[in-house]
Amino acid sequence: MNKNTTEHHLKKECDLLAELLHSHEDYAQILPGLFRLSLLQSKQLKTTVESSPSASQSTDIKTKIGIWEADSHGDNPAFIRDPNTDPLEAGMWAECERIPPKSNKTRIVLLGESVARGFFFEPHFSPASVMECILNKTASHEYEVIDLARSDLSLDGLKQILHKSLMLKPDHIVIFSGNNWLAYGNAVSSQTQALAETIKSGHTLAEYTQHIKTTVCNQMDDLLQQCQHIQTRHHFPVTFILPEFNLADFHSNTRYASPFMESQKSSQWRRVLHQTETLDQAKGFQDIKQNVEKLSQLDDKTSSLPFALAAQSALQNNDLESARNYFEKAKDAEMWHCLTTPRCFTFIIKHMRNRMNDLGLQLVDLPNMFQQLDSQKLPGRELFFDYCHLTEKGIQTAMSAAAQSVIKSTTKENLSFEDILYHAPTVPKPLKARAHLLAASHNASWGQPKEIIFYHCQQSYTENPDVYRKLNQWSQIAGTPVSSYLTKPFHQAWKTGDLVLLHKLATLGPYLYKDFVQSYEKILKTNNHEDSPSKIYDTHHDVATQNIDLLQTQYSIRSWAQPEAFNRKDLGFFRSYSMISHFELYCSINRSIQIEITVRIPFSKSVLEPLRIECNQQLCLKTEVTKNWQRFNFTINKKTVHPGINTISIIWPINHHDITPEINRVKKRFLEGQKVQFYIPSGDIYFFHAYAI
Amino acid sequence: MNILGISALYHDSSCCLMQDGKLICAAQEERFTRIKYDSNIPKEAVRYCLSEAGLAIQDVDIIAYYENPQKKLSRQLWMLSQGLPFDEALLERLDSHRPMNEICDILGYDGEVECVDHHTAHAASSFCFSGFPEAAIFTVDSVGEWASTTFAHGTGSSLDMLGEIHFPHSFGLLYSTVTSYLGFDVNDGEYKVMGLAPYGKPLYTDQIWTLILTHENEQFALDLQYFDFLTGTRMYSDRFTGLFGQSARVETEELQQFHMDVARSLQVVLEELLLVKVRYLHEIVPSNYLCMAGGVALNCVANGKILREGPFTDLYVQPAAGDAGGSVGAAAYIHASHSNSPMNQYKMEHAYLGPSYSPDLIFKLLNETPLEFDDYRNNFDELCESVAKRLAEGQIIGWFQDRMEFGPRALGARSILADPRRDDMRDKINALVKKREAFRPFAPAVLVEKCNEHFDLEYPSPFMLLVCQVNSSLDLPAITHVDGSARVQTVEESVNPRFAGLLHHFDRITNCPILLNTSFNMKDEPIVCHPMEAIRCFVRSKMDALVLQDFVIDHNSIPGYWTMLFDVLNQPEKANIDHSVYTFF
Repeated sequence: MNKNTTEHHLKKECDLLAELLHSHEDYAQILPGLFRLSLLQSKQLKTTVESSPSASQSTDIKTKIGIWEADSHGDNPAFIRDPNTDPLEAGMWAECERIPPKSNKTRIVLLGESVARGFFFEPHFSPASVMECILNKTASHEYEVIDLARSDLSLDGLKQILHKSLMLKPDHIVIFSGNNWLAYGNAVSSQTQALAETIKSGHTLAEYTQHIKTTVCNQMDDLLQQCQHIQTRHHFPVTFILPEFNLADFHSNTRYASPFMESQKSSQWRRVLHQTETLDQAKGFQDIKQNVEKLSQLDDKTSSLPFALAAQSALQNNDLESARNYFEKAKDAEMWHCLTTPRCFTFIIKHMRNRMNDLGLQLVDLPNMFQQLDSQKLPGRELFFDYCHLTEKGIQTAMSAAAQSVIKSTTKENLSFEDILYHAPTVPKPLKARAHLLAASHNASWGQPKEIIFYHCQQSYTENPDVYRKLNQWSQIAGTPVSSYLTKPFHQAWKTGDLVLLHKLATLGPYLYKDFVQSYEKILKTNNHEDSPSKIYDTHHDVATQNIDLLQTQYSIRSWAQPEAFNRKDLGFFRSYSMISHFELYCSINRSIQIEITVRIPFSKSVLEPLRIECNQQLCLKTEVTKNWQRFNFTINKKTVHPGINTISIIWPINHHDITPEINRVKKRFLEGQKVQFYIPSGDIYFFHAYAI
Repeated sequence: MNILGISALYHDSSCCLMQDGKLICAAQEERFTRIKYDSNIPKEAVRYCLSEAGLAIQDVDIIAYYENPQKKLSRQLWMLSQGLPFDEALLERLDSHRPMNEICDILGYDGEVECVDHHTAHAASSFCFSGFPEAAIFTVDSVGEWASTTFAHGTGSSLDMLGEIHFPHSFGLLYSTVTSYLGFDVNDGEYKVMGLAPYGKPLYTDQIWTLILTHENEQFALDLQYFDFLTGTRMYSDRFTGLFGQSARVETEELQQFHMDVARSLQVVLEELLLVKVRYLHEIVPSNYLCMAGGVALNCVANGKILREGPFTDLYVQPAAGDAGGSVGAAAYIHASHSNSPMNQYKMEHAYLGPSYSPDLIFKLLNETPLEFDDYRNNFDELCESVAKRLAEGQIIGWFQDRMEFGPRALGARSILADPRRDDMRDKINALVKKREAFRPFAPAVLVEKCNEHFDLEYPSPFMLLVCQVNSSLDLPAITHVDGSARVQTVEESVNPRFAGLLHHFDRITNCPILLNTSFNMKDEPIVCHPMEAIRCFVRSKMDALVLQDFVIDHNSIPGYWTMLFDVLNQPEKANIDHSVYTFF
């Protein structure tokens, strides 16, 4: 056979193989096997390709720490902020232009995540600056604290920066980390693969969770061994600060059963949940506990909502220990998905406590400390701005404890915690007001209860009533359809305003800020201010004057913690993962509103009840829906619409899902290394418009 | 019948909507996502197309996809059997179900999807909109499924594929390989090489010919020992570098005369090769009319030569001749096959198929900003008068009007305009406005009725896809390339009255009916789509004024701090296409 004939045959064979493979739904999964068996003559990437990036990385390791570059090749260089750093990345690190060469000051390096950066206060007041101030006021010689904390730092990232920080020749390393180790895509790389395998093999989420725990513990051991190695080899101590969580204000964002729960169980779960929610929290603690037990059995303890209900009920009964216990279970329940707010899971805390002693590393145990400092309360808003970021008091406490550990190891002085705490710097009132304002907005962005948003708004006003002027600037910026930087109010604020604050406010939340705006409006009214933040809706969001596309993010997303927000960019339509989807619609006057909506119930085998659409809890449409797109038009009577923000709710029908296609899809996507949602959709919306008639 | 045409998952994904055979709208996904050459399923472009026609996804009768995934898989498997380095990341590209799955999952579409072979889609994208009664069709690109070049005949009732050149033998890959050797990105730098060529001499044509084993009639074969794209991670092999006697240029390295000479040699050989193929095509389809499509059909220098020296008397090249245009071709082909209507029912008169923004909306947006602006609503003549004066004074103007163009060329809807008579204008725009390589040429837009007075062009060129010699009595340094050529856009009053209006006013003031016309974007960014993107681009570049429909904003009204802020905040999104050999995997 000549070469051309061979070639022709080979192409024919490829055609045949392609036809065969194409006819098989899951063939992409068997391809790696074919390659491994050398049935296709592929070869690995040439080493030259792989070696070039790693070669450049090795240079990078020598010369750069975080975003700071060594200014010389000497043994003790200064490190200068790299001006070419991507602005987003630069914003993750401390605002420090230059890290000086090591001098005769005792050098402490602080590593960690956003908690260690002093989220809401930075750059004006940070844990690093607090610790430096405390140390220099209390100890007998001079200290400097280098802030190497980075927001959104993963466990892997921590290991890297720990290694690099040695170039700064520290005398002590303090690590304040643990909140991000299983949150928002920072999970261990094997996590998605493991979930795919779990689903594939029919295992439960509880088994998967166990696998994740084991994996993360192994990674922690690796980190701790690195710390121990540093301690022994370099002869300086490493202190670890264990983070705590805001238990008292815990709020579950969960309004859905666990994904992949078989549909009958799912229906049962929802029924028991509904029953539990209707029980009197004060009187029905025993019944609530029993129901929570049932729910936990059904969902394998993978939903936080039942535990949160039990914890609230325990609090009403002054049973602090049970409340703590339930809140911790609630905190831990959803470690399987990537949308939980940052938190240090209990298994991480326990594992760290166990291992630290064995390895001779120093530990500042904030959960224990906070409990000892006030045993009559759960850690709450006095210590935390949100779920994990510390208030002034929280930072002062944590850094005093860290300073105590540092002083003890560097000077052998044994100062009392109270003496050290006495020297902790305080935050000026305007800065506190600013931090509470940001916290209010941040909590609103993360779907926290209205009560806590109101609390921070009030604190902010109390600390500095002038803060409402900033809020007015913000509200003018936030209400416009153009980027904040292009607006007239931003232009005015350029000379007079706090641009960093405005920038942060403008980029925090995606939605109409309903709870935030209403909270502030209430405070301003109480204090006889004429300004109204809700003016922001008048020009560009008023359905009385324009057609509103309710699928736009500002009307359809209430919180970044919603799975809907996570998947928003990936789909060409709106997919809901909640039993009820809420949309905010502003109307300045009483008007009847015409709604046009196109919906479907994906993956349903049979729909057990109709879809209901309510406006301000008044039923407006009740209709049968199917898995095919259907268009509906209906009118909301003007009696139902009230001036201000109206809530349109879609109550999706409970239905028997055929979850096999979704499981297959998720599994396949995971195997392809893609990000996928972990939830069973409750309904899809293609088109959702409102206009006044 | 509502047909959505989709091209995606390779590079430059796009969507179009055909209603009863009429092309309603078409747009590239990159314009919405701001990711240059965005290759993802065009969900934003789909939403735009549906909203333009007031449709929902369930109103779509058929989705026409521009490629046959099973045939493509066959070619991919063959590539792997040749020893293409494999890594896990390629698995995604090997999934022939992916297009259908993503159309279903991402677009929420559960209706009928029909696939059209890649080159059939290209052929249809040209012939179906050419207005020719029948035509020979020539499609040339890097590769589709197996075909890299096809010869076809289109008649009112059919589109017959008469011959193919198969991968790995490909004009497009030949061009891309040299592009890569010259230090430019594959699938991005080819048009830079075309622009570089006139600076060089054809000193390396022998070497280029050495890369080719056969090229007679329908035949074409590369000598694969000079290419590494089948077995390595580069386009060219060590033998290739040896043949040219110099190592490959890296992107940051300064361009030498050698690189220009190689570019010129490549262009000369490509033109000759294409002429051979076109002559062959004319032998088997002795028509007067030629339709061309595929990425290589964007080589307007070659197009000009084909028209001048080839056997056909008329040539039609669709404005989105590259892969973006595949969506349009697939939709037209499926429409014709389902409706039994003629293939060539409609002529594409213009490329203004994208979104537009009303003066009222733009007025509202501008009022939100601190920008001062002049309002010329209902006073178009005055607007033109004012803009023409600015242009005549040497100002560089951002010109944003009506519906956005479909395809890579700005044709007076999203354009940057300037006076072509100025010596320094090309360098100024390259350096200060576009911030790109100094050698890059600019194209002229000319009133169609005055074209002959200034250019050696006998045919209208509404899509800026023909290059000819400048023979004007005017001195036009800013649009005349180093070899005396220009890539001309002819502007007709009936097709684009606003752009034509401006040209008339400029002509009245200056006796020059020509403007320098370049795309409204900066380096590595897609052309602007929305008015706010136009403002951002205006702020960051050194344009003197921005015309947003009926409103004129002077550069002096930009707050001083905006430039600094925008430089930090408006970094271009990173392209999600591969510039390595895997780009065509």
